[in-house]
Amino acid sequence: MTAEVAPVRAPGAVIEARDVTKDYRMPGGAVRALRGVSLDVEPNRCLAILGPSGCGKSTLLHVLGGVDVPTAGAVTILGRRTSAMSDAALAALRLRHIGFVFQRFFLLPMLTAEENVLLPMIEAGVPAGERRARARALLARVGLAARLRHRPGELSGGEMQRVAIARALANRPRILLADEPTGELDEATGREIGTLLRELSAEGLAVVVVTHNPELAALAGRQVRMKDGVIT
Amino acid sequence: MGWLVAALAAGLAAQPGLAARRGPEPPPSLALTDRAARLLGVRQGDVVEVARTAAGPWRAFRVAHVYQPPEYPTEISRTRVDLRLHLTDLEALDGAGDSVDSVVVRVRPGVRPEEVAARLNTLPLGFRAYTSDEVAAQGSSTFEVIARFHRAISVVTLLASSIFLLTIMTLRGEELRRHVGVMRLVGISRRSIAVSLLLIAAAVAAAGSLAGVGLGYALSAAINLYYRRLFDTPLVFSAITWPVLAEAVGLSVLIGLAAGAATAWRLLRRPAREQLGR
Repeated sequence: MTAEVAPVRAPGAVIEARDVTKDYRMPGGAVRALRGVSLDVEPNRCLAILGPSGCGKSTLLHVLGGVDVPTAGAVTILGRRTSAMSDAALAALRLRHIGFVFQRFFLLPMLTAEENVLLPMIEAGVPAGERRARARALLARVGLAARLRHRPGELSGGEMQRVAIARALANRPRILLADEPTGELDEATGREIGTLLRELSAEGLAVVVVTHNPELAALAGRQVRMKDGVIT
Repeated sequence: MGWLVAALAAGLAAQPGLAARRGPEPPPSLALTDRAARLLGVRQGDVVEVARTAAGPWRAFRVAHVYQPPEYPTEISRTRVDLRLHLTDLEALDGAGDSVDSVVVRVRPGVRPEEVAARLNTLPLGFRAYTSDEVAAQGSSTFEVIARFHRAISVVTLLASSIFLLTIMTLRGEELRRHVGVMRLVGISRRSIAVSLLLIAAAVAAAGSLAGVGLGYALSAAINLYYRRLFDTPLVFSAITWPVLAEAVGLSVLIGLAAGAATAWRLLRRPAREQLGR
């Protein structure tokens, strides 16, 4: 079983980033990907982060999601400062409170759609009957009730992204982080995914979307732009 | 029993000292091993002629008994005909008086053979006494060398299979790299991922060892079939015993676990975002 996570704090920002700097050590020297970024992520809102390639969007998303810890500054997720947490505690935080959606879906190809959604719930210790019911309900919610037994290779790009969203929602997270979720999808499918993310934020989820797509960004209630590691 | 073992150590083809003949005469009797009977093509009641050398003189004997002697691995490659004659007949055939090269002494239960041999060796009788263990050790030196070869082969095989398994797990690990990265981002703990990798490696190793055991049984059966026919013996040349089986599967699983641990360490020491190619 994974480490315990502290209770969720009172209403307000679910993620607070303050003067966040992130450096990566590279063979040619250190690269500063984020330069003093401050940002609040609130529930019931969809936040779009826009900017050109290499501006630090994905790095910011990783720092906001507890995948990376900042080199300087502070990120607080649900009241807990990530730089003070162990790797196991961060993994537990992500497992129970944060859902991730990726541009390339990153579904496990050997598992069916249902099994991909079940995976985080198995790790979280959700009872077997409950997790199966929850997985089916989530897949029905994203319009894939008839695709439970299909493996990723048998699904279209849009369907795979829906499965990825269902997987991200499996443990009923408070936060959903999406990195270019429509990057590999056609326009119509991308619009459907955007609408789904907006609906989820309307239901109480804090949604952060990193995107190049202005149409997807327009669906978000709030937009921030990044350039060279800073929010402009 | 009144029988003496006489081993006429000559190949059947070059064995002019023994010839088969069917006839009604009631000559003295002898006993033949079942193998000798098959080689000569005779059975109980038949008459054979025996001579000390090919030049003769030949004497007829009736086959009174065909017996099955104990098989010894050291003797399987010898093509010889063993027969037993009454002592008086053997003396007559040999043209020499009563003489023996060796005497087998059977001790009573509870008596230690080593002590008996030691006591006999103190007597000034002009012979040397050995325990059956000593005789067996002298006769099995070839097998000791073969056993050492087998051990060397098994060490080399284990080493090679370990490297092979490690290579498979390394390649599999590279395939799994991105999946492991996703699982870590989703929140699956390092421990759960490491346990999964160990189980995969152990399962691959166990499946491989079970396939090897199946192959081993098939080869063992083929080896026994071939050499039993070749040497006309019921001896078992190759045997897969339970301890051997347990050792093989156990070692395979251990090697698999080690390979899985190495793969897990390689995969999990890297940050999750690197595993996703970010």
